[in-house]
Amino acid sequence: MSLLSAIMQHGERVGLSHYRVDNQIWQGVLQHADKTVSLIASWADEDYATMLLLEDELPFLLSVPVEKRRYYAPSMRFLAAQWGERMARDLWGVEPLFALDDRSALDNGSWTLTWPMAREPIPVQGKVHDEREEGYELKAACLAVPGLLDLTYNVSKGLITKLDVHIASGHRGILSQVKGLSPQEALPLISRVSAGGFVAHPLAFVRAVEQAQAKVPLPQERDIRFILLEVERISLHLFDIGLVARCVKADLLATHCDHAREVLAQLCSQYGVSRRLTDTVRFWDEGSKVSEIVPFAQAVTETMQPLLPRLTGLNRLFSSRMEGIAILSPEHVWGYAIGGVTGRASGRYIDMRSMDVGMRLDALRASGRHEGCALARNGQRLLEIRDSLYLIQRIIASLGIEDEAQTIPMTGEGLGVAEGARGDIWYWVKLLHGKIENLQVRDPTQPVLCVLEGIMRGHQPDDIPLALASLGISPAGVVL
Amino acid sequence: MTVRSGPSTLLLALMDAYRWRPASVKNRAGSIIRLYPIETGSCEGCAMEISALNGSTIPLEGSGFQIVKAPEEADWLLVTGAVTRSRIGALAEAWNAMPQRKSLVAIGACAQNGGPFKADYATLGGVEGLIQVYRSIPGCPPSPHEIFQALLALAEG
Repeated sequence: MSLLSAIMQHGERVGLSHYRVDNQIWQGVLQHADKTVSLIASWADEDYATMLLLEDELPFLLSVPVEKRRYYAPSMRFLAAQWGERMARDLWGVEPLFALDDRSALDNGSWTLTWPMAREPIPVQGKVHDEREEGYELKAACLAVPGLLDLTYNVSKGLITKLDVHIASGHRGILSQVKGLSPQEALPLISRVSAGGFVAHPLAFVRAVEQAQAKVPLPQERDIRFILLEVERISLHLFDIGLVARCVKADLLATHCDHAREVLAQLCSQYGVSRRLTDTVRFWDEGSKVSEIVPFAQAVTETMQPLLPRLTGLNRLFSSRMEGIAILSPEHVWGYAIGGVTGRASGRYIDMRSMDVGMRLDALRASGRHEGCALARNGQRLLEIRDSLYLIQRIIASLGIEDEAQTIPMTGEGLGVAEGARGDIWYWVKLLHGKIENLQVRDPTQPVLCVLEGIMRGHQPDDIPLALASLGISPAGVVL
Repeated sequence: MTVRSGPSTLLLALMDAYRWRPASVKNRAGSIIRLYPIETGSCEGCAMEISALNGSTIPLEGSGFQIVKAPEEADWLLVTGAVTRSRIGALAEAWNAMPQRKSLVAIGACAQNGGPFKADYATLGGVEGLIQVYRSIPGCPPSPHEIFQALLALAEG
């Protein structure tokens, strides 16, 4: 019997794919879940601890009541739960029992409140002890990737033996700011969660809200969203390939990526959308912001297609500089449910676009690779740009085609996913009287942070910027 | 898709890169202005645009600007982000480390006034409420070209 079947029998169904269980079943899941079950995310507030699980590519939520501010830590079984547990402790003051890592993740002593999301936050008195261990320190400004990520590491004989990740300084309090807003009021803020998903983040949020409200977008609007997501994918892949190219001093490849990305941005602007597609995702009943989607999509494919062979050729030319760097093993990507290019370049073939109603599945041809190094990830990015262009062509050839969309009941809570350029982005939203009562976000960088130490162990410190760029790490969507 | 790799790819790619090279603004008066970008908590959109500003589509260095890696070497501080309480120390440190005749330029809506991120337990909401003298470049995010043009205009006074 599958885990989901067992839970459906013994748990209380509280949402479309959300079950509530008691402590005994929760612990049973943590002890007996096999390798067919992976954890996408975990979170906890003062009322419930929740795991977002994937079994045979089917997502479901499992919650347990939090008693006396404590719950059994999902990280006892699922290592990827550690960041969610650490963040929940800082924001809500709930303690994960037997947690893998009990250090603070967000609260580094600079906040005006302790447990700011709790029903009764505590005004700060004193200062939180900085839990950073001693070692070399790399500040955000020294790293290749944009965003606030600090690293501390230890070195022996010139090679990294230990590495720790710190993201706290980028925390903006987004979860607290959207609470109590209507979904429409929250959308502009959600649209600025991460530049690694100006389309993908709001799209996952909008899909979650639509599921909560039992709404389905019209096929044409659904297809416009697909196209925007692919255009964003191309742009971000070009950014990441260019960043990697600069790290390995392949300036010619970087120049071609810069040029292609700028051309794409200008096309967006020319057809009436913003250069980086900000604020283009809307709710089902608001109408699309893109009035000329077919000419826009045609212009994108006609302009980008001729540039791709040159990029692929240059990537091959500089391949020896990326080969074998920052290898991520298939065991790690499956164990931590790492998605996107990073997962697919290490043998985890899962692509959440295949779950989208109306998706032209035949266009998703890049099956993935297994080498798991910086070269494999760049190669995968180029293949996915090819697929995105093909997918855009397939969509405009049958724009607005009807599909068998299931009618869903209105439950007041919804789970939305969008396959962004750097991986699958998930939003869970709970509405009360039309306002956001609870919201949780899972960004694809989160599980990658868990494995960074393992990837970098045995590398020279000089390899760190290349590894981060190649893995597409962007802390903004994690730290919120 | 035909993929060529080798000397012909290299030659053609070099020719393209040469053809695309942006024209420098040669007539800007004054000495080189050294820029130090600092991220203070945002979606990373403005930081990505600064990365593009320092790429090959904008003639930044040819036009009298240079991005530097330490605040001690910088003339202008380019701030991106809504200024989290955790980053105010780093921002002050960078500012204090800069030599005299320095300037602070807020890049984008967040750095200016917090943009969509209001001041709360974690965020101060941009430099607007923190210091009196600063210059700003609007946008969310501003494009690399807009940032470049604004920098030129600020340099001309």
